[in-house]
Amino acid sequence: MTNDDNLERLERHVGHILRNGVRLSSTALVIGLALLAVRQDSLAGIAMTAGLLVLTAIPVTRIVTSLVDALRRRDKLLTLATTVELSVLALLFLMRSR
Amino acid sequence: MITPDFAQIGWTALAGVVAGLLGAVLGIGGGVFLVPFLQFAIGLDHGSAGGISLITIIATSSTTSATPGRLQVANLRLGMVLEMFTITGAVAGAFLFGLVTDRTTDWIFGFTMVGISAVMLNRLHKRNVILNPTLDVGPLGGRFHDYDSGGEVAYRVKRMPVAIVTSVVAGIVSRMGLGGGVVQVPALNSWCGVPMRAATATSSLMLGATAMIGAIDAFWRGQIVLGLAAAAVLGVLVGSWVGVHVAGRSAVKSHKVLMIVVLLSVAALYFYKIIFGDGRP
Repeated sequence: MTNDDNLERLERHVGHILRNGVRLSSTALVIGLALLAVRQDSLAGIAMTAGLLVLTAIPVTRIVTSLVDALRRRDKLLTLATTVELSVLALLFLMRSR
Repeated sequence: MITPDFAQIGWTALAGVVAGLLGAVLGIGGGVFLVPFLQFAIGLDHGSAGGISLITIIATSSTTSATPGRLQVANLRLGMVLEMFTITGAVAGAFLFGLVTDRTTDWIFGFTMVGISAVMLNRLHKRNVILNPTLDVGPLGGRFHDYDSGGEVAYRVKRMPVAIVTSVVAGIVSRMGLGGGVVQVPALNSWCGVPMRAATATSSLMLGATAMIGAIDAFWRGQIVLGLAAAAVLGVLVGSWVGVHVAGRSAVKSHKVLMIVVLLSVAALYFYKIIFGDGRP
């Protein structure tokens, strides 16, 4: 199987997404807590919400990247898996937003 | 909804450090520690405690998985296939969670801990690694460099239906703040033939996506206390950074023993709360 070589590329991409997402998120959270300490409550709320949303978005970004990679490699199994995952997520949003 | 004071934020950050440390070492996201802490020490309900725990699990999952070498030990293919089932279970769990009382979730939480420790205890001395790197691992198996045996090891995934059912269950219970690794790591390791280190790394990656579902649900229900969530996440990041740099070198058997001790202590805490009450209405 040549899959091993190709998965290395995905591993690299996933690594980047995870690392940068966490950096961005934790920066916003630190700023948020600092603002809270100096009693800028509404600004703190915005910064902390932004930080938490970035964090929550990391897995979605990872799944989308994996889908693109699976399509590129014509990997049927992972294409199916990631498509189902994104569909279930879409379903959750659809049911909650009604 | 409570407005946290600075002492609560400080203690939550500290609890986050401990949770991050345990999560990185054991691959269980640290929720087993953080949820009881937020419930008993801070006084949040299970929904809020679970929601905050899930957000920190995304952070732990992301940092531990992104550590160099860790993604190679993780089985990306197996992880993404099983993730399909954990996410579906998590959506079901999010809806079920709204239907049961805190007391019921406490019972489920406690019994989950006991059940998992029993399985772990039963398999304490067994290892799944095959010291034959040329083995055909099949479409979902994997291979990695193992420090304990000092060589390249390979494994096949056995009993895939068990892994699938476990993943759905892990997804369903995740809304309690568990991420599901606490169910998945023992199952993958004990029944499906995945070596402990690969099971931990794979589960660690999956946890993020599973936890995301419950975290979104908690946001929607307005259960996320911002200051506490921010403190917990930052604490967990520090703790898991330290944990990752320790976990690679310590022995696998001590991981299992530590996991059993943590699980049984948490179970005892919940049964105590259910039987004797916790002083709150």
